[in-house]
Amino acid sequence: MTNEVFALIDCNAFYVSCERVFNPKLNNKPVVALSNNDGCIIARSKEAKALGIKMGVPLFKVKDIIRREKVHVFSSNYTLYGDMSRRVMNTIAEFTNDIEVYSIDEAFIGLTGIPGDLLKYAHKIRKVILQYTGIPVSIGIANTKTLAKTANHLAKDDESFNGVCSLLNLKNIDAVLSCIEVGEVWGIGRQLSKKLNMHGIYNIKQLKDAEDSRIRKLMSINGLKTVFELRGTSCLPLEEVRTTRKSCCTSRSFGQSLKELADIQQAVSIFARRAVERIRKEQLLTSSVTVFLRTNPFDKKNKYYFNTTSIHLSKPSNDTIEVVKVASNLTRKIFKTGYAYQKAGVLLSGFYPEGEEPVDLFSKNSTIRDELMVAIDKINLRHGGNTIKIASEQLSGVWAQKKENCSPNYTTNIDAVLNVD
Amino acid sequence: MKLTFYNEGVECGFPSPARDYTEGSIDLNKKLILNPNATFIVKARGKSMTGVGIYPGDLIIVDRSIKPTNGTIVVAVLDGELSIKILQIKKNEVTLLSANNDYSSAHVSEEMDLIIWGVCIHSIHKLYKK
Repeated sequence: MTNEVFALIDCNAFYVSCERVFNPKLNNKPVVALSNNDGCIIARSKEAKALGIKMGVPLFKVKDIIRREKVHVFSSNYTLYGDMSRRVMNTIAEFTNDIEVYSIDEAFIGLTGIPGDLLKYAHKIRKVILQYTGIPVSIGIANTKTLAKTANHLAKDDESFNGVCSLLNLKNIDAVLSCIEVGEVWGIGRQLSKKLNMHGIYNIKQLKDAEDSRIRKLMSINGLKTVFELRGTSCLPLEEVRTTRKSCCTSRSFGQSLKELADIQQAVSIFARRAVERIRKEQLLTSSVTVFLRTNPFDKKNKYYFNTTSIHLSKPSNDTIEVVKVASNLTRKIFKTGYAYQKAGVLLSGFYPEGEEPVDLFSKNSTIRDELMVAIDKINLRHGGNTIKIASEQLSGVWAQKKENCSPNYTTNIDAVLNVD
Repeated sequence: MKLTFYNEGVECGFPSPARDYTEGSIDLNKKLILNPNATFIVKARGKSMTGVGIYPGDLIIVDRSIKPTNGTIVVAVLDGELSIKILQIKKNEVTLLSANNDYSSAHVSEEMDLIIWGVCIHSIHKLYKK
């Protein structure tokens, strides 16, 4: 029996909650937020859920409900959400250093050894986050991270918990777990839950009580860890420091489909620059550049085309000019005329920390270029992300994203702050 | 914003010997913002608060972590409407006061929905327009 205690703090309908902070009229009204390019619903208020709007559905499929029920629709404003996330996470960090920021709207914290009533403590955290940031959260407490996630699910589902649910010292935990489907377990996706269902495992209690040998056959080694965690044995510690990334992908759907090579190369150039900027920030060099493009797979009238190609860089690089050039050439290689392209992307992988890359005898060292990159990053940081670009990205705007209903950057732009009478 | 602050007046000619005594710079963020995670900036729009020195276009620094008490200037949300008002709490009666006789104050009755969004701690008023 373990004595460890974890809590998962998860923001309720985070993107919707961010919008509501600056637009309180939207409280108690149905509100949804859309994915990049206004494609799918990715956040729903309680009221929108109640209308039967499902997570992840394409916007066009629910257009009728939205019009009829006057659902408020927001394009995603990641500048705002990112800043609000930072505030929420910093507020949590005022309570404890034992924090793993798991995603933009979730964090695990360690509660092991904290004296007193943990439920009370969690309610306090919840109250302070709501007061400081305006963002409502749910908190699940348990002996393992996987169970804390389950507890969080319960706290969200049942309003009588007032946002905090603890599975610690629960005598009838089996009765609770037998009411929750396996698909709700952290790390069990749709495919796996289908497979488990086929083998007669429908709820968490059944999964928890299954024999190890059976689990090993049905799931991977990580699956066994998950099951141990459901039994109360902690196998997944807090990851306070994120392991270095293995790859970095920038890809987007276009605002409208593109047919010209030049337009696609322009978009790919921007993706490449952003990806390189990201790895440069983490002081990584890439040794592999991949470009992919595809047409719309749902378009039944036109033929589908997808292609991808990669190149290995003998000298790992994080030089924007070089990677953009490479990505642009790769695009030309896989581009075929006569198709309406909907999406493209750039994937960088095979990373080396700066200074640890293999030496290439045949390439010359260029510290001047390195200094140029530092200067470009500084300018873009100070004057906004698109100030200095590589010439091949010159914005024609053809491919730029749809963002029809985006809120102002209330918290990061002094000219966009909230007006109050 | 960073301003370099010298203890001594600036002299012409030779470099000032006071240069060695500079105290870094004035950080207005530090002075004006107590709790950065809970602090937001809003812009005043109406004239209902001119009596306390809040004019249209002023930038108001709002701290959500401060407990609103009787007499504090707050950003209030009354039935979904945002406004800057003086919070008055007398016995069990809550009133949102304007600071301008041309504007009315609002008694908050029980069936009204009042949320105090945050407490206003500073107003930044422009005195020179270019």
